[in-house]
Amino acid sequence: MFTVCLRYSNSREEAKDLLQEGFIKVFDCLHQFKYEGSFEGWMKKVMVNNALQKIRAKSHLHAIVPIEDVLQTETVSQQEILSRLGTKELLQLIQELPTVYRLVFNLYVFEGMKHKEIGKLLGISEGTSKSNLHDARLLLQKKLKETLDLPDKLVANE
Amino acid sequence: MNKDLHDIDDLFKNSIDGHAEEVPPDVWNNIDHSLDKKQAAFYKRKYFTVRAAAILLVLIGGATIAAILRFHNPERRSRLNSENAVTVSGVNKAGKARKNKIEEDSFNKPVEGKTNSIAKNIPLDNKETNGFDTTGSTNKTAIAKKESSKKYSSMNSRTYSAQKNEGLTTISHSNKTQKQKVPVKYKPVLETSVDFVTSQSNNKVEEKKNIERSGKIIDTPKETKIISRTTLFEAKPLKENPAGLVATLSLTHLKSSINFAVSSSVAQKSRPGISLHSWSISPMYAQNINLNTLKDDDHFRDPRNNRLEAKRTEQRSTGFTAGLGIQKEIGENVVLQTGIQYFLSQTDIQPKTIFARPDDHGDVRYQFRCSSGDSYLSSKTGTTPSVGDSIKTSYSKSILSYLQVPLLVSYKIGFGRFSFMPSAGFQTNFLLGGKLNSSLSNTTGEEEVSSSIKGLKPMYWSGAVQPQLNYKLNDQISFDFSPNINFSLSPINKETAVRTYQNMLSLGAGVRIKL
Repeated sequence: MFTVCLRYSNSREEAKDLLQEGFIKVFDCLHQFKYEGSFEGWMKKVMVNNALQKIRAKSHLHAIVPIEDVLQTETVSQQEILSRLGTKELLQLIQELPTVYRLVFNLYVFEGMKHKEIGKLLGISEGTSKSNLHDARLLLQKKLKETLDLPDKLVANE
Repeated sequence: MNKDLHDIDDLFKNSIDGHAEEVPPDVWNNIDHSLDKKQAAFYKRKYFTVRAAAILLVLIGGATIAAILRFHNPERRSRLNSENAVTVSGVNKAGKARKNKIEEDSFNKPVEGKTNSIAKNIPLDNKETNGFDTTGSTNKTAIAKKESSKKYSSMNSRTYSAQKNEGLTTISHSNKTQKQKVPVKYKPVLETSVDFVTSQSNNKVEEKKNIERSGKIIDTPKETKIISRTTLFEAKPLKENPAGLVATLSLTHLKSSINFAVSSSVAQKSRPGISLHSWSISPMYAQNINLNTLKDDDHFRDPRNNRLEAKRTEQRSTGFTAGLGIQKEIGENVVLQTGIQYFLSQTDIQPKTIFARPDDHGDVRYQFRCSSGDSYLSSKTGTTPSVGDSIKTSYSKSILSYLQVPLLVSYKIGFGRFSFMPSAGFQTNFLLGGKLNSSLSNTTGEEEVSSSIKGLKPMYWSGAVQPQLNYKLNDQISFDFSPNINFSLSPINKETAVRTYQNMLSLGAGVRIKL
């Protein structure tokens, strides 16, 4: 659960706060768990909802970040990236994303939500959600390139 | 667009999804402390609510019991009336009150026995008196005559005839040294029972009545029992009068006695000593406009069915309240109100798309979420839906019905026939039923379906404020008009995406019938 909170937050301290509040809500709403699915999944849903609520209350979800297009001249396999970057570094890359990009990326990639659902949830249009996801990917590419110090080559096929 | 962008998704998902990050120990400590505080706050709030309700109930109960004891205690009633009589019967030496003066004048005049005389004047000075004056005429007592003409008009003919049937009775002086029996023009006491009046009309009582100096009848046990409870006069000796003595009854005695006689004529039929004169009932009807307050359940907020969604789709909610109110006057201006009421609330819900999901029994049905709760609808003509299937509703209506038991305290401010009665209190609302009627749009057309609403609490509390306006038609009937404000003290549902506090603004009318 702490990893979930880390994904939605922009710092470790904020993730700790989210985890703390999320657990309190889990205890408060324990009677609402209807044994219809896994308890872990239910807890994760509570954590995500709590994180979204807190983040939406604190910041607006309309970030415009100029992103330079990344040239792709060479491909790097996932194994190569993972051999050079740990999970913490990858988590940090997500945390460094602007809030709205981070939320859209998390909801799409990790929660498996559709753009229509994301749009309704975050109060943005479906097209904006798609655009934000694309920008989030570009930003992650750029950050990966900078982190790996790989000029003009980036994520690639295995 | 970079064609390899999608691989980033897999890269992050595969590497992070199964990752477990160690939680700093201080987080667990903070959670522990927060839970303790939250639990303590919960119990504190719950205890405070229960304590406040208990105190309110004890106060209301105590006030009711005190009022009942105060107004239904015969001894106290007799004592109060006696005290009032002494004041009114001319002992008021200052003589400021004109009424007292008239009374006093009438006392000083001898009473001539006449057939329509009804009052027994209480003597003013009993220190020098050894007997009763039997020659006084109550016709000379203007006030008594006036009062008698008023009061007698309301008496039944049987009693009235008895009053007119003048009988002679022997009144025994309680002074042992001058015990004598003198015939007096004795008028039957108005407040005595029918038995007494009847017996006097048959000339069976007049010879054997012995009245002590204090005025209590000491013989004929059956009559004594009745009279000692109801007779309020004190036959104190008047100034010495060779012609005899007259038992007199003060004006106040007469008034209070007649009042009590009227009320006791009802009470004696059912239960001696209990009067219903301060009770009233009022059939009422009120048209309501619901102004519900909706709150999200933060823990399980469904973005598709949250408070905003409910507000958007449920914009018209009306209802009515009908029932029978019971009022009890517990003071000069204070009225306690209760009763039983039927409350119906209807909320129109705009068209929306609903999705299928398993209900509490595992059956997959279309889940309809509204501010009242969740309802599971199944199409009779269509096939059984799978989880995630959707269907559109063209029109829906949620109907809630409750049984209400209000408890209000009113303060009466009179303006002639009108009186303003601001009332405040609380209501207990017992759920009778919650139903959702909806029209599903499927391939075969529209289909009307109905189902119960889940998640409603069986009971909730609400506060009530009623600035009532009362118009008194006569002594028995009055009309009530009141705008009512009802506000829910607790949500009507639980474990739902939206918690609803049912508030109402209503305009009511009723007829108050005094018992």
